[in-house]
Amino acid sequence: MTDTLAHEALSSGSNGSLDPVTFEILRSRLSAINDEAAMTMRLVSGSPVANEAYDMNVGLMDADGDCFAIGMYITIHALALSSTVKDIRQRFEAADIGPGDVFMSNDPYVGACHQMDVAVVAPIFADGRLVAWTGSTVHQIDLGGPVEGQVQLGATSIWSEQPLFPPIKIVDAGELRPDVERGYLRRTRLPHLVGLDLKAMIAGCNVAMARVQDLAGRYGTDVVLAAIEGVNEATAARFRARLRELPDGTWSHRGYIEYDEVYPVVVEMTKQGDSLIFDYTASADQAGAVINCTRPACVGAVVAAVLPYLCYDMAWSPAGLQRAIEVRTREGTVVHAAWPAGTSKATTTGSFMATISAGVCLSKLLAASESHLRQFMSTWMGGLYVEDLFGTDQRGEFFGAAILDAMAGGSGARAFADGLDAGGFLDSPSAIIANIEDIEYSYPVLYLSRRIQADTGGAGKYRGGNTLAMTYIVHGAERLPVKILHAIGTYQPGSVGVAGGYPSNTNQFVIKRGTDVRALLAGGGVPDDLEDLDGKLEIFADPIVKTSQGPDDVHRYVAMGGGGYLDPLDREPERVLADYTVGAVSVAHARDAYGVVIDSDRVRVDAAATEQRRRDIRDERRLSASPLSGAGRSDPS
Amino acid sequence: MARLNERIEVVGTGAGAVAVCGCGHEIGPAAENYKLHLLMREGPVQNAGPWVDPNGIGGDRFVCREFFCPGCAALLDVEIAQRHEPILWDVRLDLAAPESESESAG
Repeated sequence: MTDTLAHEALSSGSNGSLDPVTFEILRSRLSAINDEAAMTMRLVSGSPVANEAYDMNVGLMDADGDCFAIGMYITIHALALSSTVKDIRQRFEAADIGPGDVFMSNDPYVGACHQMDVAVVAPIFADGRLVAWTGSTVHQIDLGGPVEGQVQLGATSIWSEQPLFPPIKIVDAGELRPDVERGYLRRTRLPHLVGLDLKAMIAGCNVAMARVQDLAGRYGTDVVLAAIEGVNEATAARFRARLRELPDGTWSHRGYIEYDEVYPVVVEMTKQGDSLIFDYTASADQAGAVINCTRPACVGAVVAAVLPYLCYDMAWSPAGLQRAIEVRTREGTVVHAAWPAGTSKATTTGSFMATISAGVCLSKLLAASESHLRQFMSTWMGGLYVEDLFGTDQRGEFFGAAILDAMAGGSGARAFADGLDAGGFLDSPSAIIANIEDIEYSYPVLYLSRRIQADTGGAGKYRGGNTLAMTYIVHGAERLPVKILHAIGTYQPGSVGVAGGYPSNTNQFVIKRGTDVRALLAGGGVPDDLEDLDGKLEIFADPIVKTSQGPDDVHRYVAMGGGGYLDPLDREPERVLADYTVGAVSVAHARDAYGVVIDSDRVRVDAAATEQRRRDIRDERRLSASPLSGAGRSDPS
Repeated sequence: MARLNERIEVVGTGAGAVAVCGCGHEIGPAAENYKLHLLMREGPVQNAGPWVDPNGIGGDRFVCREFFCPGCAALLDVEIAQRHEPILWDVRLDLAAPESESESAG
């Protein structure tokens, strides 16, 4: 950059700030750098978790570690990366943080969302000055511990989960430290995969480093620094303005985590003027291990909910948002773990439910606003099912996998349209799932079906998005010796409805043992569902199960849909018919939930029968429901 | 005009404000939990839909509470809760807030 360019950029704004055009160019460029870092990471990583399911993210932090740009993947990581950088700033001497250094950590008590989400961060220097940090993270399939994968079944504290490492330097002045790399890979059952992911995260950081340095070279370091601060300021200002447009009040929600007992995640959100407070102090005390999240993950979870509900039209600068948001937690709870409580499954338990609960409050805030009702969304998939598989693959090699198909949950209903079938989940605007063929190529499985399951979205005038259901068998190997199935939302639907909309379905996983599936396939048939097969159905009552799958066993799981909006009796009958014609709603559900009688032979609505059915449902409501006395029934909070 | 959602509006101000269903039925004082002034049906969580814990693995820990307008029988809220938990007061508008601040822009 020429001196003239730098001078002009700085002097044409008021109070020494950037002129708007330069600022917008730099803001967009910084965002694009983030995207390029993420793309680099995906291309280098050999893990389907990163390059097929995008369970990862990148971020750019300012010199102090505040995240001014988060990538469009799993947004909860914004705080993980930020907290990790702040810890490094606090604990390392300035002289030990230099150009070309890269640090890594998986310590949730420092910042990582859980042990599996390794945070890799690097300082960015320009003109000998620390101007920013870059960070990347990918969910790892195995990082050691007594149990394969992420869920440390039987753990009673963090001592019996995956080993922790607070921030350590993995690259020193551009040189990979082989001793540190060896120590890191020694603990995992999948050193090749984890090693490649480590290189992918470092590569992502390297690209971001180089691009920001290029930017500083072209525009000047001071200009880039002013742009970074400008992003935070602009987002904070727009966010505060957005809050001022919305009604004041307090919204509450109780979400639940099923484990050895039920752990409520309780949030009270107070919106007053241009500030937003999320109070989680009434949440359940922590468990010994597995399901808790630490405070940085809870704060990140709040940011992950606020971004899509309120910030759809502004730069996603978590640091800017945080200037207007306060998160209150109580140490020793399931959303603010006290050392040494374990956190191995945090991102699908404590922090996940913190996001969902905050999202429910935000959805009801938007529902109370006439001017912003169009941005309303009912609850997105309120409980994520994950399956960790380990064994010998079709090539005779040991493998480990995290099957993340259930990330294609249903999205919440909107105020003018239905939720999206298999729309994804709230935490990740870029969520996708792997192609079946990719999964079958990588692992010894054969899918019998993967489809959108009718009737799983919450009923409503606008219904929640339906979710996926899948069945598969072992293929190319004798058996799957280790399957760890885990979810919340198995006893109750986490995707609640709003204003009279019903919740979605629950997460479900079963295995039909000893079936005749092989004979059926050999004869050219393909079972449509488990009901078409002989065998013994094993229903798992626990939300976390370690089991195995034999050659004749068929595994089925149903992920979670989205919540509905408004009374389903207000849904136009023709919309219900349209759902029926595409297999989104069954005749029985149309009649029971929507009061719509479908003549399936003629594929039309029976108008008279529908009118009568809806009258009957309303009469039934009056007869079966009772007035409340009020005293003692309401939550005093 | 303030409202809890598209279906329930708040009419009046201050201590005299009342929550009103879209059908015109006065639900109750806006300063109180609107749900306590509705009809409620409490049943198994399976009442929420055909794919809600169809195998009953959660036992009877959770219940489905459906709240209906006493006037028009419209379904105004569905709450999933543990059986022993009180009815949640999920929406409390700050009725003292100036109306212009509540809905000033779009």
